[in-house]
Amino acid sequence: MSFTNPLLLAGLLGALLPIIIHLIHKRRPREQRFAAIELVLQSVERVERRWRLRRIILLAARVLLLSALAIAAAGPLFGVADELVTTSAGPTRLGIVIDTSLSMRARYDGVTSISRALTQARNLVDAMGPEDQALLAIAEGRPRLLMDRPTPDKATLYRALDAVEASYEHGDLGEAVTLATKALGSLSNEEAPPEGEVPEVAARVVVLTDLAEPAFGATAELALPGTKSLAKLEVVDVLDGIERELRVNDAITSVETLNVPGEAPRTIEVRARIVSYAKESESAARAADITLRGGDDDLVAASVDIVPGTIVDKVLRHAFADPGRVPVHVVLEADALAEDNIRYAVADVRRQVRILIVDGAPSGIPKEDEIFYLERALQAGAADQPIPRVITADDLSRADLSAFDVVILAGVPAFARSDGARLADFVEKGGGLLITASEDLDTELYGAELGRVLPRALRGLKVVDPEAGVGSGGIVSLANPNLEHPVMEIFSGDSLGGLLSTRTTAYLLLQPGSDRPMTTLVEYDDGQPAIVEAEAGQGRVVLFTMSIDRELSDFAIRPAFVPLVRQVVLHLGHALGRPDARVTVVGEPRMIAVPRSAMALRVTAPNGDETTWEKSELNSTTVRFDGTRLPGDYRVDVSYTGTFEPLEGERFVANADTRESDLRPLSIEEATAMLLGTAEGATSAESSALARARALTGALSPQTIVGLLLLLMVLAFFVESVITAQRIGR
Amino acid sequence: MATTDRPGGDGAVESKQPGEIDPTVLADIGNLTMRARVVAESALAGMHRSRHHGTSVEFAEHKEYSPGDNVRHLDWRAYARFDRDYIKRFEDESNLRALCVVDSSGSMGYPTDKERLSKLGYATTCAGALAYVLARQGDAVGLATFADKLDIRVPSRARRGHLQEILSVLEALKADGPSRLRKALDALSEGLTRRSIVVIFSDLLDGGLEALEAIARLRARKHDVVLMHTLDPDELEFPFEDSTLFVSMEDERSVQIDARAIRDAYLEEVKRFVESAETRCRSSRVEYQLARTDHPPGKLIAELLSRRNSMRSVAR
Repeated sequence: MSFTNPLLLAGLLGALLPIIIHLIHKRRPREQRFAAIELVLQSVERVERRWRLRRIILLAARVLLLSALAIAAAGPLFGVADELVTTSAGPTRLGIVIDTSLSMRARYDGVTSISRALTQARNLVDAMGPEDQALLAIAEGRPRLLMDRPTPDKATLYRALDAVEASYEHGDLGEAVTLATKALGSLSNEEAPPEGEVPEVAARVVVLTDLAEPAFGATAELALPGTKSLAKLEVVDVLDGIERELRVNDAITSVETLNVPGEAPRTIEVRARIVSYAKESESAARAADITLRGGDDDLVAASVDIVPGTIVDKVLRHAFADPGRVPVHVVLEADALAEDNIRYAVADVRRQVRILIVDGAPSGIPKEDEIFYLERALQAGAADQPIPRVITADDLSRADLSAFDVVILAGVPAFARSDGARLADFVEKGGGLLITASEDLDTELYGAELGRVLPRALRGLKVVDPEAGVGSGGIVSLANPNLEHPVMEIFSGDSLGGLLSTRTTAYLLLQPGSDRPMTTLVEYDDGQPAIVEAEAGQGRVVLFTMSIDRELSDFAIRPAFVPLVRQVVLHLGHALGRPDARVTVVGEPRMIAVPRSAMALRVTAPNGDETTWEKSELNSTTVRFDGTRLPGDYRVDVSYTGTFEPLEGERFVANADTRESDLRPLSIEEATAMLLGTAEGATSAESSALARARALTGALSPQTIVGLLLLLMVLAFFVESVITAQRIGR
Repeated sequence: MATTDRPGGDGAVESKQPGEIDPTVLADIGNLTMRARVVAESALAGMHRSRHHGTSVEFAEHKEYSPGDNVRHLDWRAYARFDRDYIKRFEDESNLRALCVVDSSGSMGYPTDKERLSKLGYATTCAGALAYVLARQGDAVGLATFADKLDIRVPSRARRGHLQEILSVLEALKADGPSRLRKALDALSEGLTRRSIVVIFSDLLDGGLEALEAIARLRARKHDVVLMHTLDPDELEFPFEDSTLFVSMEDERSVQIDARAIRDAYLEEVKRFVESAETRCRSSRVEYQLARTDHPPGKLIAELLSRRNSMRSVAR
């Protein structure tokens, strides 16, 4: 408690008057020799208790009356650091640092922590003296000042406080305190001391926080720049009075979505990780509802047992009706901090890839057929995928390519020229084309008809040991796998060995020197590309320079064959369902890939806010999006011709920063020590006591306090009058 | 009719009934003998005076025969010597034996200021006046005083000069020491062999109520007992104000108190005290009389004598 006119507290001495009068009366009684002393004593004994109580009440009422009068005259100010108000020590600069991290969204008794903090901040502003100045700083993802320098204008401060709300981000109070301290040290021209003098500035930084540990990271710098003063640090627990047992929390810290092969088509497995931030002894295990939602629909509802202090993974499965990137979110039954009980994800629901296989060397003997191994590889464990259709090259011209997603030219030596153009168009419109080599492949035809979509022009077949010819002992193995490529990322360890041990005796050579973008998935150990990929228009082409029968290579019987072929087909069919490894947390930037020939790009936030980049801003392959302020689904649209269409591959979600989910509080002493970078908080005791006092009275405005004091005086008058009237009535 | 000026007053004359001499007037009369006489005369004013002589064998004086005298008491020797008829009168023959018992404990000294009669002053005045009246009537009267024990005892006699002895003792009496009424009355009861009227002047404070048992025992011995419960108006009305240090008049006890705060409680206590004394007296057939010291003592004595005479008349 502070006072606007502390000198008037001297009036408290007036409260001694009743006591002095009482003592004077007590010391000078009239002496009366009296015969009936026994009766007097009996009377005294009879009324002693009532009489004594009444006398004490009377005395207390008089003392209270005068005390209240003196205190009211002194202008009490609760909820304010003692030295922040105008005193004889001169004006003070106050930095109010408000923790606006995610944890401040926690709600206790129906009131959020940030609301409590803002109430206390307003009380601090209320208590400012006419010469005091204050500034506001908030601690969230990027700590920032709400004003450049301290201001005495309370209206400005109130307006700034009205706009403050808790973020979904992680905050660092140490950085925010440092920021505030630096700003407190800035002096206006009028305040600047004469040259050569180093000014002294009385400053205090008050940190309003819930004491959740994650917000205490960096050490605060309290030296006021340009002065020889240090700001005084004070940490205030805005949740003082809320029991520690209530300050626990459960949160969904991650959600993974995976395609589940072998299940019903488009089945997605959602794996949610739930962390309980509590000690086992602090709360009991509970069964919580958990729901997988897509948009506004509940897709799967279940229950999960949460044991305090443990981590539990909950798996939910759902078969989606349509393929594509589907935003979903998992919702856990709400607790104090409901915001981290929702976790967003994008489920990349695998589409069904319709495959047309053009058999380049059909044979009545299955094992001698060019596609014998290919067919089996595509059917193995792919119940969720349709059965490929197989035709010969002669039938290609009659095939409706638009009915397929991927066309595989399996060792096809040649095709009709008209089919070449159709295939190229097919690719550029988004189709996938897989070409495998054969000994008699017409490289000129391929170059002429498919050259515009091929990764490289084909030069001809290279036999590793020309002297001995194909099938001789000259072989090459595979090397340098590009494991970053979505097709190749499944290989590691033993599975990689199953790929690299492939032995090839002859392969197609590619024409070097082109600047066309091409990705090599794996090479032969002589440095020549073995599998390459290139994009063409909206489609892709993958080229195997070895055969997929056993004519030129043993690739078809290698362990890596089946998964690799399946990966390639899914990749070509845009159905690989590769999970987006990038996890975007609220407040962090998101890099968005810009499609080639895009005219405009637009990101729509969960609240409908749109951010648009025009053609002139899309010079790079990626753009940086900084507007991830809210958790939820961010849609990305691209325009090629003036009309925006969804760019599903870049659709993403942002989630609340679950570093803030641990609500268990530090003590005032620990928090102060962490900010000061000391073993113990230097001002711990003071802060603790102040925090308690503030918790009790923080919501009282000065007007309310004076009103209460006046009410107290009236009550004291009333009590005094009643007792006096009773005495006179005798 | 007696008249008196109110002391300190404006000289206006107030008419009084017989026996109504204001105690404040009496307080100005320093001599007890005079005070007792004044009170006695006022008490006797208007009362029929009669003398009764006894029939004992102890000669007191001669009286010339007048018609109606009992011829049995003619002194034939005197007739032979003086040739006139004389009647013998005998001293020890009285119809009434009275004993005044006066409490002289410290509490009887209240109030201490000289403007008013203290309870002891009031009691001695009444006792003296009573003795005066009885002696004048030829009744035997005695005196006993006590504080912590039976102190002085003047036996009941109807002799000449006996009154002066009683008055002298009363005159010299000082209020001092604790009250032991019960012990004193028990001691008195042992030595009181003939039936008497015992008139007790006491405030009964400081354990006096227990003495009522002794009074009852006295009554059980066929004595006619009258209790003159002597109390000051201050003790009955408690007129004190403000914070007051009350100091006991018999011991070291004291209490500082806001007098107004306990006034109601005190008045209840004193009322209960008086009623208790009166009730217990009546239950043991002891005549109880509250003797307020602001009550005219002459009137008190007159009433007492009147009651006694009427009772004696009834008894004859």
